Amino acid sequence: MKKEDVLNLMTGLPPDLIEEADFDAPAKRRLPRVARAGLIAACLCLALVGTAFAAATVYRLTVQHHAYSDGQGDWFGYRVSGDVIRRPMDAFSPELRAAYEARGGEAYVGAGFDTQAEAQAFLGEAVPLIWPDHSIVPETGVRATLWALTGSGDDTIGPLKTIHIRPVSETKLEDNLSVSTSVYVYTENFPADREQIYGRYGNSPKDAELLGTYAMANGDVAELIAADDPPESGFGWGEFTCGGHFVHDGALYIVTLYSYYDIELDYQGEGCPQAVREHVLSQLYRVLDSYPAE
Amino acid sequence: MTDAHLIALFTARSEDAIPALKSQYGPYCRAVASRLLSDPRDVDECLNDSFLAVWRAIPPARPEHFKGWLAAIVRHRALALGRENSRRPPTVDEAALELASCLPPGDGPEEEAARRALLDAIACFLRAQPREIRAAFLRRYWYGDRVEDAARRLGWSVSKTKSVLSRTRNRLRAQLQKEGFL
Repeated sequence: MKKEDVLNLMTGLPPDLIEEADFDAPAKRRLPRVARAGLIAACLCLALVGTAFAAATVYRLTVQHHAYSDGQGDWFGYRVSGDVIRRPMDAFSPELRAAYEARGGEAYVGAGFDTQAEAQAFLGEAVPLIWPDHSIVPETGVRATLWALTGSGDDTIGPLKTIHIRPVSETKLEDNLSVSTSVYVYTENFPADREQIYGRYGNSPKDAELLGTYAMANGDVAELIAADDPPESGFGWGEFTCGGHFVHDGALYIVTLYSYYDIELDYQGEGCPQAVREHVLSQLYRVLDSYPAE
Repeated sequence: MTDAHLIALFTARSEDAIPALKSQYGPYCRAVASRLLSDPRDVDECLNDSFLAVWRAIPPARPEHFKGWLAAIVRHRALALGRENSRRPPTVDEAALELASCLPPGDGPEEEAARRALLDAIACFLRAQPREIRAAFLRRYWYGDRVEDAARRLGWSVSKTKSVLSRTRNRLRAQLQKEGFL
């Protein structure tokens, strides 16, 4: 067969095989020290939590390393999975169920609210959410998206599966630092065999780091991930993103801080300055600690 | 953003669809195209064409394996551009010639049904292989990796990778002979 025919023929191979072949051998790559420490801490934490609270409801989050290479280098990200509560449909408000039924066959329908209280009423009082302290993260409008899809790509539009609640926009904490807080709530229609509850984190061309766990003031445990996207040259801004993921009362909460950092004149490509990283992390802890227990 | 969310954006004809696609899979698509095209300008053109093709295809398409489906669009366009401009990395042709040795001779099946049957036989053969063997084969003959790059990705030595590829080609040839394609 001629080479052009071979090339064209191969393009037609099943997409699932092509997807599967896009993987790296992550074990062969040595993770940064902080990520290794974080990974070990996360494993220990999971083991301890599993042992100590085996008889109670345990909310487990795991963070998997996800990597691939292209011609320009290695790319890293993480995939967060865990146990969530799949709530019966009658736990949600009649208004929410009516809005979903009226969506007209679309994969999702959105609803906007001026306050968190309105969003909570729409969700239903039987599905209580927790919100960060308004003195730290000022309240904004809220958007709720009701999804017919699980996110796996292999399901069809059908009954309501997840509800994503998020602010209408990022909230500015200070100059060059903003925060976004969102929650995923799962219904009984979310497949029981589906572990993945959040896709790959970030799309930065720089390594995303698993920073381990953080014990929040309300007793929850957050998995922390950071991604640095520094400027390619000595000009411009870099972006350092830091996220905390935790499960509370069966819902997945994601708190993400976005910070932009300027660089010094003698910048040598070292990425986000340590002082900026530490400050952003401290602000992430502050936001996480502002979530109440109930 | 998950694949299902992306597909939903395209289905809803949202103006956020293509930016979201670029954000989620832009680097991956660029990596696919870069292995098949040697000129960065061609890569950019390929990606623009591919993203537009996705916009035109969804709806009605609802690909079950979105990432692989997207990669096939990029590969198809990249091969066409490389052919038009005669700007293709030599490794692409090298890999194609390696693989040609274990496929039916001549111009390849002209009828769609015959082409589909051959493709199904190759896919069936690959599914029967261990995952890493399958990945090595696809890295080399679908993604167009150099042997050294495939070896690094798999965590193997270059010599082991060459050996695995050679043995896999031989097994594929034997399987296709058994099924009457050769």
